[in-house]
Amino acid sequence: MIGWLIGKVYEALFISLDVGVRRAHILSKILLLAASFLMVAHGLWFSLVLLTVLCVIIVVGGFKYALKSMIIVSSIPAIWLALTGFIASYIIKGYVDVVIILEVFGRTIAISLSIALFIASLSPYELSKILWHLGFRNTCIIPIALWRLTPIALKDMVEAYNVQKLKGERVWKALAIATASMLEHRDFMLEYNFHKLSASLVKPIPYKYDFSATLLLVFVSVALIMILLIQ
Amino acid sequence: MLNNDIAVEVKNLTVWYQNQNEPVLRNISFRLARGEVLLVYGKSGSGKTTLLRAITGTIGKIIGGRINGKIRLYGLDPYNTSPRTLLKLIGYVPQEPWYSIIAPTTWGELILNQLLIEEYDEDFINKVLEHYSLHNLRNRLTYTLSAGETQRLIIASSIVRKAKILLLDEPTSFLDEEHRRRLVSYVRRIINNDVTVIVVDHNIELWANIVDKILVLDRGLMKYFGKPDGLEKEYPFNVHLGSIGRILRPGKEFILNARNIWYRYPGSNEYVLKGIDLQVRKGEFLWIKGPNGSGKTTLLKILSGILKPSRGIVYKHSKVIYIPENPLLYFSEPTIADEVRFSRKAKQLLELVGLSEIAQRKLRFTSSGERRRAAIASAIARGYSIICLDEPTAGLDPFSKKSVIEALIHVVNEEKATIIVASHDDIFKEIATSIIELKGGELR
Repeated sequence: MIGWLIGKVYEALFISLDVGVRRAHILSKILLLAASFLMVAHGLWFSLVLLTVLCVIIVVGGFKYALKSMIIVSSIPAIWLALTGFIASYIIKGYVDVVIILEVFGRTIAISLSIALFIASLSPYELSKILWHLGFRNTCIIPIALWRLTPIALKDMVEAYNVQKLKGERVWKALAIATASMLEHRDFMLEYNFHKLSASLVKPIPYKYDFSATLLLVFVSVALIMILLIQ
Repeated sequence: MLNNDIAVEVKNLTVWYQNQNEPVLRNISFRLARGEVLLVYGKSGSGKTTLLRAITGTIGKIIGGRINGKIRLYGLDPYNTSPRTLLKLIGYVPQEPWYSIIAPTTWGELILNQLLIEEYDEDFINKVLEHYSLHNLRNRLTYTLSAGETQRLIIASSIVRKAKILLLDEPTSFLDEEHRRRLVSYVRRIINNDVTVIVVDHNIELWANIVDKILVLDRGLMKYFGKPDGLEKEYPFNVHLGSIGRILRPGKEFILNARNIWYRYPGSNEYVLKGIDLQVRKGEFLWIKGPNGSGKTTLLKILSGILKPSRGIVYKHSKVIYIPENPLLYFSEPTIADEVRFSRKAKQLLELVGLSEIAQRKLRFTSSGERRRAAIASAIARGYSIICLDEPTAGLDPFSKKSVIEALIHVVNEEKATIIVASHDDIFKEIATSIIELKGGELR
């Protein structure tokens, strides 16, 4: 189960190329995230509208393959909060208010999905470009290196978990050994790229924005805000 | 800047690692001219990788230790030269090439390397992509590249940086025969452009046609430096591993039976395994061979129970364990001794796999070959009689390879274990009692 979940996180966030909404301007991504927060803050029905819109963006925006994984990953905090709400309601009130539990679930999954989409749509090259322009000439390689290292670490974690499970060992041992392996990867990366990481980029990595993807996110964000204003 | 015809000059080089009294390299001296190819040869622990590390100027900086003596690369001291200048001077293909790549895509890696030294030139990048047959991999995620593709990308990145010296550390250890020959042809292209190459490898025969000089290291000392002619008399040209034991005859009893195995990964429409039938006898040494992406690892994971087949069934009459390609991920305990403590025969097991002397060592500080042998001993100690190993010889030099294979032979003959190995290494042809070949997910 844990190995499967790590696999879903990996699919949802790290196996995309820079296509679709990943090529949209970062401000449009932030705008959509802000609109999503506003929608969720206004209640269950708005959250359900948002959920539908996000699913459409995921499908048309280049993440169709990851839709299932993103929903699974987003539903973890939603199920967790709904369950704790269920238990708390039962203990405190002596009965369970199903509507409130559904609302907690609906609103949490909507906001989690919008955060998952935001993270998945971040491009390490775009982040690097922004950092370079902000004057972080030496550290602008770090987001790129992180995007490269994280999937390797997640894959290690799945592999370690599977083997420990097969051996009948406790799950935390997989975490310990995956961490040791991750440290080893980090050491190798630091050694082999020592000069690259010590030098700064002459210019930022060229990054072409996709106008239609940016327009799509801006249009959707404005439409969501308009719905709220009309209400 | 680079008007010197001496590309590499090393004089009286001695290297110490942190917390070690004895130097790893002692008084090494040699010179290489522009465009020359040097092959560095020697057993594990002879200081080959340390020599490359010293040349890259990283000892005492990122790697704990210190050097004494002189290193000059086109007249420049790598320990007193800016990182940008060093990037223009040196290209380094390490033994684990994956970690030398920073960007998540092939295209991104080449651009990043160019921007470290000069402005972006798309035409030049496209030419390099074409020249090193990387154009089809332009948008590939770099963690999906094979070892050969990764090495090619690093070499191409060095060309993008216009590096004058290329260092290759055991570049053939992850490659099959075809990819080894291909690598040599790419290096040949580089030397035509006046790039000086230092390659650390055990396979002298493979490099024989392009090597100008050979440096032989033995326990940190320089035993020979000069032209390859005449060396053979003084030093053996090929690695003589001596005889490797033989697997005794397997039993008649079937202990694993896989019937009509089909598998596809969740979310994928394509089957990676198609109707595999397989029977394994007790005491058998089965080699699953096949190229990258043929489904070897997936089959191994299904046989061991990590993955459940989409269709078909696996009958197991004994406990099965899986040892991944990165053996570190197998372990649950901090030291080798802790890993085998479950068995009353722990001491004998460690002797069997040749690890008695380092039993108390933390697994984090062991070599890849030692980890594999420790995993084999641990599997036996934990009562597994079928051991599935994924690429157990990948990345090992011939001597470490021999010790892993001997450990496997011992556990089959003396512990009556059954071994299933997925590998592209032809060395298993000599040992396996049965062989199956996968291609495109099907048995050939």
